[in-house]
Amino acid sequence: MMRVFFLMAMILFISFPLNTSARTDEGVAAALTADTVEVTANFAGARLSLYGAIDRAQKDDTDIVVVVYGPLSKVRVAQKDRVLGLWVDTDPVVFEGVPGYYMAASSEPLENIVPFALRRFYQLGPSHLRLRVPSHEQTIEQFGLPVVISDLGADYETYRQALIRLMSREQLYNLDPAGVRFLDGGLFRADVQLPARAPTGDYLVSVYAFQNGQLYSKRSRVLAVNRVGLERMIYDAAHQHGWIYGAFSVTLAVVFGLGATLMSRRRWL
Amino acid sequence: MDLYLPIAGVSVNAITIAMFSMAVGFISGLLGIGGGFLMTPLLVFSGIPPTVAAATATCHIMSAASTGVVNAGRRSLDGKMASVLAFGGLIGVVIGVEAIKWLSGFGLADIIVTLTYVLFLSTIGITMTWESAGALRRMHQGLPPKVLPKRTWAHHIPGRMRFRTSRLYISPLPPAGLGFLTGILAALMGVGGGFILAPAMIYMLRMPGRVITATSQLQIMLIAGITAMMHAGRNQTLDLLLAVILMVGGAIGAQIGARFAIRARAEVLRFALAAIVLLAAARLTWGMALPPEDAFSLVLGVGE
Repeated sequence: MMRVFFLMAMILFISFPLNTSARTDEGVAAALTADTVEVTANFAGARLSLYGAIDRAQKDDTDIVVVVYGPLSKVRVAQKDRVLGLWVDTDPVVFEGVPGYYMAASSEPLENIVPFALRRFYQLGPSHLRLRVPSHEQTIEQFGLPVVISDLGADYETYRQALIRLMSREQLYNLDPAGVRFLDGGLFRADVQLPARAPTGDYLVSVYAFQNGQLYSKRSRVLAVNRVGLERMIYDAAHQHGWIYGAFSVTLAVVFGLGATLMSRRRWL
Repeated sequence: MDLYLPIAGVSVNAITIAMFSMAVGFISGLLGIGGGFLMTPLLVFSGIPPTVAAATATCHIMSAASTGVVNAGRRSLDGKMASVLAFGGLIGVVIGVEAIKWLSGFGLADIIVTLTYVLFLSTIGITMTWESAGALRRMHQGLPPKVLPKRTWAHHIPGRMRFRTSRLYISPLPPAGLGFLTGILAALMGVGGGFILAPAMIYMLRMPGRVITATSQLQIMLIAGITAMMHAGRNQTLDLLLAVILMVGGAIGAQIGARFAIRARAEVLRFALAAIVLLAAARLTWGMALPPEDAFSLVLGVGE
C-alpha cells in the first residue's frame, strides 16, 4: 500500500512539476510540419512551417531567430571582364563549404536583438556565413597561434558579397526580419519556402531564443530533402555507376535514332 | 507542366523544352545538321546549368546522327573515311577535355571556350553565306553551278591511300586532322561539329555529295557518343530525363524537317543554314557585348 502511494506521488510529481525553477529550464520547443520533403518529378519547390513555443511569461523578453542551413557544396564565383569587347567570366574563385540553401528569420531585425559577435558566431544572417576559399588560403603562425590568411586580400569580400547577392536573387539565401510571428501566448511560427533549385540532402533547422542579447535556449531539427522514385533512381545510377549509366544513355540514344528511321519508313508522321 | 530534372537539379517546363527540341530537330532534319550549336544555348537559356546542357545535348546529337546514318543507307557510307575521321576525333576529344582542365587552372577556360564559339560560328557563317549567296545568284541568272577544282592542297600530301567509296586517293592526314578539329570542338563546345565537317568534306576533301551526309553523320555519332560517355562517367552531368525529351522531340521535328527538305533546292537549304549559323553567332555576340546585369556569375556544385 505504501509502495502504491509512493508511485502515485511520483507520477503526480512528474505530471505537474513545481511552478518555480522547472519552467525556466524548459527553454524553447520546436517542431516542423514535415520532417522530409520528397523531390518527385513534379517538384516545384516546397513550403513548410516551423512551430515553436516558449514560456508565455517569458514572451515579452524573448526574441526568436530561426535558421535553416542547407547541405554544403562548392560554388564557383567568376567576375565578368571585357575581353575583345565581349563580357566573359574571368578569375574564378571556388568557395567551399557553402550552404546550398540558407534562411534566417527572426521576430525583430537581427541587429536589434543579437550583438555582432554572436551573430558572427552562430552565423545569423547571410552576411555572417563562414565561407572559405581553401585554394587561396594559407595558415601562418602569429603570436604562437595559427592564423588563416587569404591571398585574395580585399577581393575576398567582393567575391563573398557577390556570392550572397546572387544566391539571394535565386531565393536560395533569405533574410526575413519579420519571419517569426507570435501566434498565441508563447506559440510562434516561421515559414520556410524552398525553391525548386534548393539542393537535396539534410537541412539543419535551428531555433535560437535570445534574451537581452544573450542566448538563452537553442533547439535543432533535421529536415531531409530527398529525391524519390524515378528521380532517385536516375540520380543514384548516374553517381554510383557513371560509366554503365553513360553506356545505357548512349545505347538509348541509338535506339531512339533507329526508332526514328522506322517512323519515317512507315510514314507515321 | 513542370518537370524536375534529377541531374540538373532544376525544375523546367517540359512543354517548352519539348518545343525547343522539336524546333532544333526541324532545322536539323531540314538542313542535315546535328543542331548542337543551337540546342546547348537554348537549354542554358531555359535555366539548365551549362555543363549539364552540353553533356545532355551530345546524347541528343548522337541520336539524331544515328538516324542520319541509317536513313542515308549503307551504300553511301565510306567506312574507311569514317574510321580515319573518328581516329582523329578520338584524340581531339581527349586533348580537348585535358585542355579545358589545364586552362581552368589559369582561370582561362571560359574565355577560350566563349571566344572559340563566337569566332567559329561567325567565320563559318560568313563564309557559307558568301558562298551560298553566290550560288543562289547563279541559279537565278540561269547559270550552271560553279565547277570546283578537282584537287586542293589536301590532295598533294604524300602517303596517299585509296578511299574506294569516296573515289579518293589522298593521304589520311587531312581527314584525320579534320576529325581531330571536330573532336576538340566537341569537347570544348559540346557540339557535334557537323556545321564544319560537311563544308570541309566538300571544299577541302572534295568528297562526292552522296557520301558526305552518311559519313559525316557517322563521325558525329561516334564523337558525340564518346563525349556523352566521358561526361557521364567522369563529370556525372548527363541528365537522362532531359535527354529523353530532347531525343523524342528532336526525332519528331527532324522527320517533319526532312519532309520539307525533299521539296527544297540544295542551294536554298545551304543559304538557310548559313543564315541560321550567322544569326546564332550574332545573337551570342550581342548577348556578350552588352554590359552584364551583374558583374559576377555563379556556378553551383562545381566538381573541382
